[in-house]
Amino acid sequence: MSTARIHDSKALLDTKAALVKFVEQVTGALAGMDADVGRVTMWLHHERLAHWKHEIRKREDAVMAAKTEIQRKIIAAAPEPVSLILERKAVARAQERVDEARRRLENTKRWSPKWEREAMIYKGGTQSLGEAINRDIPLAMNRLEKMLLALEAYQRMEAPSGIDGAEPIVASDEQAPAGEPAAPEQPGSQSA
Amino acid sequence: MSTNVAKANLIDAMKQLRMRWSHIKYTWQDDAAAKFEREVIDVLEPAILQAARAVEHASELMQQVRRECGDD
Repeated sequence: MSTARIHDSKALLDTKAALVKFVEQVTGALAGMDADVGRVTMWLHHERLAHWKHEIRKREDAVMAAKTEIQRKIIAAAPEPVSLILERKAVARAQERVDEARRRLENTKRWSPKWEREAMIYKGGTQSLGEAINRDIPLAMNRLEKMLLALEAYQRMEAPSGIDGAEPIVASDEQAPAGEPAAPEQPGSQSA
Repeated sequence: MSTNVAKANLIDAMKQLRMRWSHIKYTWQDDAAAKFEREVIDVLEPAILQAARAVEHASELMQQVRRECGDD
């Protein structure tokens, strides 16, 4: 058992406060990032798929409309020849927009399973920090709390006569009985 | 939250904890403090760095996904 020579509880309280602040900051950062990862998953699986399918249909309609405009112009000008340069450019532009939407739909389909794997990898990368926050730090706080209780118990005890100035020695291991100061060390002894 | 902010906040949380702990060590210097540092404080650093790397990687991919699957 290791021992702590602490004269007041401030160091223990400051340590607790530092850990609380650390947990707050880390929890906030991870929650924000987790939410972003989740949003991208939803966006890819649902919103984007539907969006690009809809866009393809809409843009194909625009191609048809541009082609119809060419026919309308030819008929309107018949039997005279008519310039269709602008209309053909409009058809080409509309077709490019269809192609682009198809590419993006393919990208979305390709990214969906890939992103799912990457989201798992992200989760794995933050797992040990999550365990520290949810398991290790609460255990450490419990450890500090026991040390505080032991210190307070010691401070409530009257110092035995003739040993004024003796240092409080507080058990710091988790197994140490809470609320009770540890047996004093032998002078010069070094506990493990 | 910006993903860059998330990474910066993780690194900053560790820096602040280290800074606070270094102040605490002025008044708590014994075996128990050393043990606490070794078992609680030190082990957080690799976990933070690993998480920061994961955040950075996911952040880069998010940008790529938005570029390739977002509106044209």
